[in-house]
Amino acid sequence: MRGLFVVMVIIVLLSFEGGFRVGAWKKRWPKQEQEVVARTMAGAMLGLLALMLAFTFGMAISRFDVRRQALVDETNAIRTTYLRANLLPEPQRAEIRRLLREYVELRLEAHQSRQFERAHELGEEWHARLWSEAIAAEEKTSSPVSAGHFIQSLNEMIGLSTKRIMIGFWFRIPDIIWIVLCVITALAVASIGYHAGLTGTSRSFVVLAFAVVFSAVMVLIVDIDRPPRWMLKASQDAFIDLRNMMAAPKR
Amino acid sequence: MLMELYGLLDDFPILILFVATIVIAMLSYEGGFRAGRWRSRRPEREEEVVVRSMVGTMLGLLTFILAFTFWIAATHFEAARQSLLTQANAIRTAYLRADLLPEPHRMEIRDLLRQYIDVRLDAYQSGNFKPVFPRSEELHSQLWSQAIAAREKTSSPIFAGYFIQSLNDVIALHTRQVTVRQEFRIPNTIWVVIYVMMTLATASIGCHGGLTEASRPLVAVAFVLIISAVMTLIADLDRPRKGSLRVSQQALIDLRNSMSAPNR
Repeated sequence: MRGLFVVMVIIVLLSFEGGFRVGAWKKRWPKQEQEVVARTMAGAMLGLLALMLAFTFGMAISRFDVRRQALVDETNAIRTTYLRANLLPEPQRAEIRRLLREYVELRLEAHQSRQFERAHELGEEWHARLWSEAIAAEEKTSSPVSAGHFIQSLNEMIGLSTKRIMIGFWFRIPDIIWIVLCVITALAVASIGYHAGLTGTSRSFVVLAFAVVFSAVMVLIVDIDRPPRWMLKASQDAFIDLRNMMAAPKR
Repeated sequence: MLMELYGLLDDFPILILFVATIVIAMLSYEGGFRAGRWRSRRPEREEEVVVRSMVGTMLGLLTFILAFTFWIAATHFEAARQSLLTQANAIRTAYLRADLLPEPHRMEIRDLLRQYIDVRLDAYQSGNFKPVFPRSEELHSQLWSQAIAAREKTSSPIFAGYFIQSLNDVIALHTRQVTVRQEFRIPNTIWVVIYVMMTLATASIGCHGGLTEASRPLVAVAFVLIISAVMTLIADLDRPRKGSLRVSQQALIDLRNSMSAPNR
């Protein structure tokens, strides 16, 4: 993150400097250019840049909440599935509960060792095992309505797990938006530089503040957009709660 | 004027659209510049300040319209991604619940569901979406008749009911997906207005530059590039089938992989 910030600041400063030099060079042309024209255009470009950054920020932040909700929904679904296992006949009831406990353990381990890809694959395997237990229970049960309730909650749990992974790791700001944002930042900053060069002033100190502000917003958006660390922590907490809940009746 | 409601720009490849937008902006700038210079050489002179404030306002308006259209396109993009995910989950549930049905309907239904996904993935790969809709309708009715047949044979109608529920979800979500894809778009009228505004605004800046009787400002190039880049970005996000959305097929791909795995 810090590296990205420094790179952004450098890019902004370099574009300004580049624009400034071109402006200063243009100023020495025999046929002079009026700075008003450059000023109007540079202003419009900065306005567009600011709006685009603000809207992208809005997109990223709204997904932040969606992710949190997906996590809560998934843990609730696991809890419901665990409780509804009571509706099934033995031995599937015990087997399903054991599998669910293992599933939660697995997720916790994945968090500790940060092997999310592997956790994803193992998760699918556990889903399949849970499902075949559920089918076995369904064939034996005397109360199909209750077994149906269980099946419903298991389907929901599987769906929500996929959803959480998708939203957390795949639903990001599309690359093309990043490309365009970087290009327009460089061009807009170069245009202010150009304007400054045309007026023939020396370089302003405000440019430094300007570079820091724009880079900070960009880096903030990147940080919100990627699978955030707090979410890993939050989901770890949620799964520890689940484990405690599941362990409780045993004691 | 009779026009299709959406998809005015869909036929152009994205790079060509970008270049064309740049060319339009450049030409209108140059046209405005020449008009302004011609005007400034006339005996009754026009003050540059007056033009300046008008140009400023126009640019402000253009900027706002572009930014809001970007926001709308991005929101649609998000909605399309979400609805794809919901659809993938519904198909997965139906696939799993096929286990509740007796053979041979179980195998039949699973096979149909695999085809159902393949139709979509193929369409994304080839870019040809025409067959998706009729083929899906066909598969829906085949799935449905399998489900009904299975229900008549099964010993546990409640479980068959669970399958039927999930099949209904799949069908309903297909309809919703089609709506999201086809109608959550930026209407053609907005595109026309954006292009007209862009042309007039760049022409006015050009005219402003021409009135000052100075040489052409180099920033104009940066300006034209930025405006064209943002417009192309909006067009790309707005394309339901060709643009960045193609990247987001991961949910379906994962699902397809998990479906074929046990059969190998």
